[in-house]
Amino acid sequence: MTRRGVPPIEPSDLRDHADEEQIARIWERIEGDLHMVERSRTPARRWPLMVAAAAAVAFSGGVLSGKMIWQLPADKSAPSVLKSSDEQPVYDVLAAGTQERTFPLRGGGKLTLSPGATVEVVRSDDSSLSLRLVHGEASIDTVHGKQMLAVLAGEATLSMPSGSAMRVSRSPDDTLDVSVSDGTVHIIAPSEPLRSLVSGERAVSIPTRTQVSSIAPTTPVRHSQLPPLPQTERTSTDTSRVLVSAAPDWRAQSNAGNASEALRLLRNQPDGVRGAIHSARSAHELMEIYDLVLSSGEPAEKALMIELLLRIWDAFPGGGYGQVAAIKLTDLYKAAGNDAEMRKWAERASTTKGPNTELALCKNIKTAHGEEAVRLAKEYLAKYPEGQCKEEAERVAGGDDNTTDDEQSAADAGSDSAK
Amino acid sequence: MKASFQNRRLRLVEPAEAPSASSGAESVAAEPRAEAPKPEQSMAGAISALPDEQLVALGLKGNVAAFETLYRRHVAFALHLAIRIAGSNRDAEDVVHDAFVKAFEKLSELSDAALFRAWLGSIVVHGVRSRMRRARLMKALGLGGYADPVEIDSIASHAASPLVRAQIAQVYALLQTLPTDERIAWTLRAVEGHELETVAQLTRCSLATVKRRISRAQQWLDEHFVETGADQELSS
Repeated sequence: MTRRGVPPIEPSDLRDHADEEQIARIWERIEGDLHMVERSRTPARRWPLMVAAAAAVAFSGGVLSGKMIWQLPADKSAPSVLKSSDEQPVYDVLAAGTQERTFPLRGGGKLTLSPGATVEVVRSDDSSLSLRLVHGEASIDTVHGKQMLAVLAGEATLSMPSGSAMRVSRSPDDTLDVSVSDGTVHIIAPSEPLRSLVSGERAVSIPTRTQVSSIAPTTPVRHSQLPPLPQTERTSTDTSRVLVSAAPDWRAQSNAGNASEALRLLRNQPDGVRGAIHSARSAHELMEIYDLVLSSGEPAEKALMIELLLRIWDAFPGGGYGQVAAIKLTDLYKAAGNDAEMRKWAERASTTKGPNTELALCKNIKTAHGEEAVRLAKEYLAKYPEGQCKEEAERVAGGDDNTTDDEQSAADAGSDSAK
Repeated sequence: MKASFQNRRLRLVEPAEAPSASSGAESVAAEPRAEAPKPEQSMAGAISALPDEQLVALGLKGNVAAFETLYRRHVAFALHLAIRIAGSNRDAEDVVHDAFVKAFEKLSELSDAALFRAWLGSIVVHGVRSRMRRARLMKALGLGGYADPVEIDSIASHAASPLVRAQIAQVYALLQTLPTDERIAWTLRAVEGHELETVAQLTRCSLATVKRRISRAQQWLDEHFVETGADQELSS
């Protein structure tokens, strides 16, 4: 190696950053701030009024002091971002810049972005809100809200029914860190089993991208290896079963992170896991059982998992749980090669109200064939022009036969069944 | 839901005479001087064809379309500036956003409206400089976990050869060890390709200071840049 001086850097060797998506995103933020700039730009003749108003505000500020003083800039800077009405603007991109900012949510509650955080609004209506966490940290509080909320980050989805609060951050290594301070948060992450966090729980390093080394199950799932699958009707009418009370011990072990011990206790109680499924009193309890059963990794448990998800669908479909159950049932039936049931649940998942509608519709496209697939793809593109499945939907809408398996679904289902 | 918002939004087609801001070597003083809009042109087309000077005048009256035209005309320039000085695009979006908002807020302070681009550039440079200095201070205080990493993919084109990419990576790694002001001045001159007068304008300091900073940085880089074996093969 020698020294010869720095060689010239040619402009053609430099990257062109005229990325239309990024340019549009920045403009959305600037445009939002422009409205505030215009509001703050007042004619000179109004200054006496402004002085009087400032004096009143200063007096009120003195009385309120403390916390209110700190809250004022955030509230002032974002008075109406997601709390939309016909007269108020709605922004597609929310960013904190150098200061923490708080945005009221349309159905009640609030979204707080830490400095540097950026969030895109994917979809917002009266009952649900989908946000994409581009980077940084966000706190979401729907304790007093009415909307179900989904946070997308890469291929991961966090969904929270109203009445929940969480903090989520996306780290530079593209993983998520989630802390739940109230209610429940469901986590659907690539290459990971579905899981739920409750108040006081935290999950770290949640992947947002499929890790190639971990998505392929070591043993391909074959229909012949699986036990007969219960049909919806059979299970849903199975309500005459004598219910047993689930022993609390397994939940204590589960909450302590001791999955194997929790599963052992669950199996040892009267009527075993099946008894716990039918005596569960909430969707969350069922989700906990689901995770434990999944962690056993035994193919024979697949029938139990389906039974469990069907109970959620029948008994506790509210709060987005029904949709989550339908999505998981789609994956399970797909892995089992039961096309009819798979199609049925994909259809149900995409037509059920919940924060995962985009994901459900995406799966529905991938499970459909022919004209139906084209119709769904077009519907998806109309609803989510920049959605996660945009490329797949465009391919299908463009006339490509949807004959190739969805690798992600297969991977999800495969990893489920491998566990 | 977006009625009010969209009523005020005037989406524009691409500017009729959009300057090719992708080239880092262009002059910041080069402004498009469009002809007067023809009657058959749409309002959006007419606005997008206006020179910066007139857009600034419209912006001062609160015309959002003028703001957007200014933004779309100069955003690539601002992004390149932010990314290539910092060596990564981690904060570029925030820097560019803050710079445009500040520029639009303080538009009335712009003495020569035709120099909007250069003025915007100086705000971007100042923004990046503040962040770099803050990061260094935080690191010195033990509050910053790591130095700003250089993201070679943010700087070098994917089409550049592995050798060139390695050279650029080495240059940026060396630049990190230089004082912030020298690093900025050298980058504006040697990477962005601006004239010395423009660098002085962007960094808001005298020509003599700029020359001194660039010279120091160049000398240091020449002393420490190491050619790889591949370099020698190519140069021989």
